[in-house]
Amino acid sequence: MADHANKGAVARLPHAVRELINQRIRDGATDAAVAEWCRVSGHEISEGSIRTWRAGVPDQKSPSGYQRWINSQERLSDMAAKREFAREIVEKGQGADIHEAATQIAASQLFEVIEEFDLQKVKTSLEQDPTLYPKVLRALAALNAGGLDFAKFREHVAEKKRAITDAVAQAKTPGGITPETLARIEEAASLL
Amino acid sequence: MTRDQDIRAEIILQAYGLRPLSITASTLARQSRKQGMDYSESDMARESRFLVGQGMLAESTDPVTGATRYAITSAGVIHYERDRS
Repeated sequence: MADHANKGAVARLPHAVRELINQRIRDGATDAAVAEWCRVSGHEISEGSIRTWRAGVPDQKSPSGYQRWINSQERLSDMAAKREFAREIVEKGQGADIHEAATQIAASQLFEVIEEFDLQKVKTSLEQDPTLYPKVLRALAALNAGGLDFAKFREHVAEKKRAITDAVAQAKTPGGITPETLARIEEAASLL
Repeated sequence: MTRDQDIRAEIILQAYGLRPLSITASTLARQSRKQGMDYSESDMARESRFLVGQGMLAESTDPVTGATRYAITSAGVIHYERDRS
């Protein structure tokens, strides 16, 4: 996109300086104040250049440099919120046992599900065809039941792990593993 | 900037925003189209591979779907925070 936003005086400044200019504009500083700050910081940037960076060129349709920065900040904020939401769901669902790499994979997948979900589309579809409402309810109920089944499965696995741990602890006592202990270990392992 | 440079900038932005999670080329394209850009999944895959070669993205395979996923590296983070134009 070869437009003025990428070629102007502000665009040619170091990234760190440009960031500070954008933050000042966002915080309400006037074009003159930002230009003065640039001058004091060792960068001769005119008030007109700041105005162009902030508001764009009148006849140019593409967004100004500052508008692009604002847009990217909003997108980063939105992604961060969805990313943290996805991670929280995964971590609450899996507990502390899951490896960090697995958490990241699951959270990445969940993020994409969240990102694809279009709430407005769902609302519009329900308004246009109210008969979809029972289907949505059934889908939610199935999701809930699936979650409950998974929770039961996890508890079952946790219970068997505890049994194995106890059996192994007993095996460490003088006398070694008794046939009864070994049978308990084998039973617990086969039910996982 | 050329179109490919714009695509790479968009990929780095999304990967940076999502770090340390990873993202597929399909989602990269879909997210960019929500912003009014016309980048395809193949555009995103091609430039993501280029950025992998530059050390700014890391590539992995989704263990469930087999899809290729991309995550920003530390070099990519530094590029976004310090060097991008």
